[in-house]
Amino acid sequence: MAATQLTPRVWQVGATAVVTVAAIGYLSGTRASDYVPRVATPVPSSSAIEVAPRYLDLRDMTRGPNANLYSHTVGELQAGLPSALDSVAVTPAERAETVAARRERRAFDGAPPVIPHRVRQSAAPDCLACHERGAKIANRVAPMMSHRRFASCTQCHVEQHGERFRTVEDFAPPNEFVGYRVAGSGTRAWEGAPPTIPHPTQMRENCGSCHGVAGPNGLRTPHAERQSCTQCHAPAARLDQRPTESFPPWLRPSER
Amino acid sequence: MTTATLAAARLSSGQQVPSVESSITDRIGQGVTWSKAPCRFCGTGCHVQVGVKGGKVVAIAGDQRAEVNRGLLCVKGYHVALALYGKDRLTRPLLRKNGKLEPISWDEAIDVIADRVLKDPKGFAIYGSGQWTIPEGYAAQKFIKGGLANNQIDPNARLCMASAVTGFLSTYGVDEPAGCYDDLDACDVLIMWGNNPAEMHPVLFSRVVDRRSHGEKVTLIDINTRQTRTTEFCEHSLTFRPHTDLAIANGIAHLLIQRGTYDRDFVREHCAFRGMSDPPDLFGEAISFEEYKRRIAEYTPERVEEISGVPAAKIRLLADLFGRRELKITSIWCMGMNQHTRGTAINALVHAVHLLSGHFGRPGDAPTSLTGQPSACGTVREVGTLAHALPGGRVVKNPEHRQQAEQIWNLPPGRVNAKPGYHTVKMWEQFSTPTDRGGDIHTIWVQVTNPGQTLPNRHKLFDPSRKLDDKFLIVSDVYPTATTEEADLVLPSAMWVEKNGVFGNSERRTQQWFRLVKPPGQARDDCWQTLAVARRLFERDFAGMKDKDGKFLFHLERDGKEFPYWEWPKYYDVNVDEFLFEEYRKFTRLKHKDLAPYREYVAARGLRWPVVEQPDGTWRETRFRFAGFDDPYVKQGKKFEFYHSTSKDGRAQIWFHPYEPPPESPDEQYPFWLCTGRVLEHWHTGTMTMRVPQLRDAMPQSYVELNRVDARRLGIANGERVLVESRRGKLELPVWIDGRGAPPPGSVFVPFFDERLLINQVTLDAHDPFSKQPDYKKCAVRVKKLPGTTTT
Repeated sequence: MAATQLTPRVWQVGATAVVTVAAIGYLSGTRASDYVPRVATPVPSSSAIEVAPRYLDLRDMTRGPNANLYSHTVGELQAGLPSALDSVAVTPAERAETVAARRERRAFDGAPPVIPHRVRQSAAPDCLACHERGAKIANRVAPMMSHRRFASCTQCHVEQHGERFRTVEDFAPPNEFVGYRVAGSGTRAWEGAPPTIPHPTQMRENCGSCHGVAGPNGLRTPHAERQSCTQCHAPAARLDQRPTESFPPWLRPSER
Repeated sequence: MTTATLAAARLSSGQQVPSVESSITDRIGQGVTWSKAPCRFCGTGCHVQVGVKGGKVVAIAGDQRAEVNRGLLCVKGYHVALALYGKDRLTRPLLRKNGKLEPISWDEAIDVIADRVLKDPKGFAIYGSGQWTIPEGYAAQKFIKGGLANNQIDPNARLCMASAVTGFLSTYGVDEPAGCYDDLDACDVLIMWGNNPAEMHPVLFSRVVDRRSHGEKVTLIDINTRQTRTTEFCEHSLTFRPHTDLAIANGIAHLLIQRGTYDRDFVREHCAFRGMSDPPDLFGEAISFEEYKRRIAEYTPERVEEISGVPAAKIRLLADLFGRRELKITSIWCMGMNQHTRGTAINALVHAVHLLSGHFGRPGDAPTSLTGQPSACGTVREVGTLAHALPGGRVVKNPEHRQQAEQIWNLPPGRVNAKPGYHTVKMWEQFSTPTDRGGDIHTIWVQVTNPGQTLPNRHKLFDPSRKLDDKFLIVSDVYPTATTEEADLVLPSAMWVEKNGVFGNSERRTQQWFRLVKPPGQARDDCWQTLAVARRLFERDFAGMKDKDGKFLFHLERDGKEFPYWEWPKYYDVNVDEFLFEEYRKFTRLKHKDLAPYREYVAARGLRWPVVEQPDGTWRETRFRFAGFDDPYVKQGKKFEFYHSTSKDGRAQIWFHPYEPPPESPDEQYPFWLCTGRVLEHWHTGTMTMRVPQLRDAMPQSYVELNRVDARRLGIANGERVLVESRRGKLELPVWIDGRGAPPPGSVFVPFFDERLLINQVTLDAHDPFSKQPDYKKCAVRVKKLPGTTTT
């Protein structure tokens, strides 16, 4: 009963408070404001007015805090690739240098190359961003994959310098393995005939990886615009595990 | 010689002669001959093409005609040849004299071993390996079970897949997977139970994930205790508290029953229910469907969440998938489920989920365990190089089985001992116990493995023996290891393509290869070593090495006369592998694991047993066991038949096993879970892969993975040194945060490949009651920050 009797009184107090606050607010609102509006500085001509750049233009702008936003992007890297129509002149020295560099990253001809840079360890890294089509900046080349697309890149390719910490003495007994290296180039039936392919093409189906525009200088073809390489250059069946001659008597037909 | 006669000559002697392809490469002046061989490393069983030039292996390529890998390998496989050429190969027999290993002749070495046997044949044991070739394991098996008759032979595979065996045996009555890798090409859902195939079985993993590149849809589910490279490819990741995988499997089964989405027809026709007996027995006791329902009812999704930490919604998701018959679901697992003190139970439960839901026996529907070693299946499980087993799925306890072995081996009745020998942990414990205190193993001959690094709790099982004068350790290996370092006699072995061999991989595929290059120095085949000791014992009139007609236990005739192949220069004048394999083959019919003649394997890139002769004389392999459409041993007209059923009625057993807490859990003193395992680059104890520069440089040393949350709380930065300590041992390691894998808070991971950082000093030797396989995947440790940083 006491609660219901009290109610009208609570309403009275509340209403008085609201009216008082509103009155003070109204009165103070009628006073002159401290606010000084900022007036735009006069400019000589409208052409100098800073307008918001379009997203498209941002790519070419090189000032402000985000000046480097678009540098080192895949697009830029790929823009660094020469055109398929550029002329190529390979000197024997260049070729030898390229072949030597290639060997440094492979245990033998046909071994998956090791990765000369850091990669994300916790997952299959985003290799394809650069290596799917190949990329080039200055004289650094990210070669195009030489084989079809596989999902788990780190299955075969590991970091060349994987060391992250060392708490124990190095364990490195030398290894005396001498890897097989393809020596020399393919054969030509006559001078001017297209040379045969001197190396296995297994996992190297994409000739453009080495011989195309993203390939190293020493190995580039002078006619990168031609896409169907094996039209003219013959692979060797025997290098590609396709036996051609005779079979031992017990070999199953399916194996032949 | 024509190519055909050349090849025929090579077959008869098993010796290196130019291969079929050779004349071809020669013609273009490159001189490399190419031959097939299975990879030396894991249980996947990829075939490689081995390029040989000037007596050395010079190149490796994926074998395009191999069904397992179809031309692709992993980084270890591509570099497998380098494993032969570490500069510190063992090349001479070495005997410890006055604490120092000194060179001796082979003749002396064989005598030393014969002396050890003759001292007390009962206490002479062989500790072998899933890396033994089939003929090597078979020779050792016959040496021990038929020759010494003490059954003291056990392999390192005990530490790696014994629980998978007991899982298969208790479910199907016969070991090894019913499915095969073809399931990976057909499944809609692949569930990986405590498994990281992206690193451990990379070729199988990419066989699945590459399907996506071809536009196929396959859902990957990772049930894990730690995020790995595999997780990144998965649609769903379920991280559970270590040991609680049993609750997850039971949770799925519960929902299948409760919702009625289990496969009624399959269960009615082909399954029976099983529970643990009292006293506990591997084969348990039959229970009714009603009883099964009653026991499984406890595992509601909410209860499973409470036990495992996996959200109930995810348990429902798994049950949804298993409840859909139109989907094809394959489960794979390896050490996560096997190195488990409830290993037998969790293996049986995953089979149970597949059987209950009918996801079995159609291509793509299979529960399949993987192996870590190249011939864990072939040599250990099939040849039976275990303390209790005889070849071909037989056991020493069974009088009929003993009698069959005696018959094939032409032994006097009663020669084969009915009492099982010691399982691995027990064998080493007996070896490390003084003789006068009952340690009745006085000599262990280790072949093709490295127990000094891989045994759990080394302080207890390995080290004490090295201080006991009458205990003698013989080690056959290719490089100095943590084990040879402690050995009394070290024998230099030939490895991989330096010898003939036969492996058996995870999918029942038997694979043969020939010797392609000669071993370095005086290194010789492990098989020859065993046979030479057997011959020496025979010559010294040890009765065990004679059959019932007094002939040598390994009697081999050529042109009607006994051929002395035990003289090393003559060893490759005959094909000893073929001789042993053909004898072993007689054992394989009993459990329908029929092998074809040796020559069929020469022709193939492996064949999956049972390999059955057809009316036209050809040999047909079997891809899907127990399935009427493919398995010739299923009765005509039946869709499925489990013809080795433990309930003797053609049914597989759907087991119930309750979740029970692990033997050791983190507590206040030791607050972290420790899990151990492998990394992509290194194989097992790293004795081979650490000598391959490309692999070593990619992963040069061991480390401990720590969660970022724990690291922050303990004030530890990436690369800083910590002490990982358990009740058994401790080890200093650098910390790797967000590295290769990411353990959840409260959990750390250490790989075991690094012989300088032996994590097995820290692990537990508690083991599964049936498989006797120790648990390397969980024990309690504490992590303490040490001064100094190591980041380079």
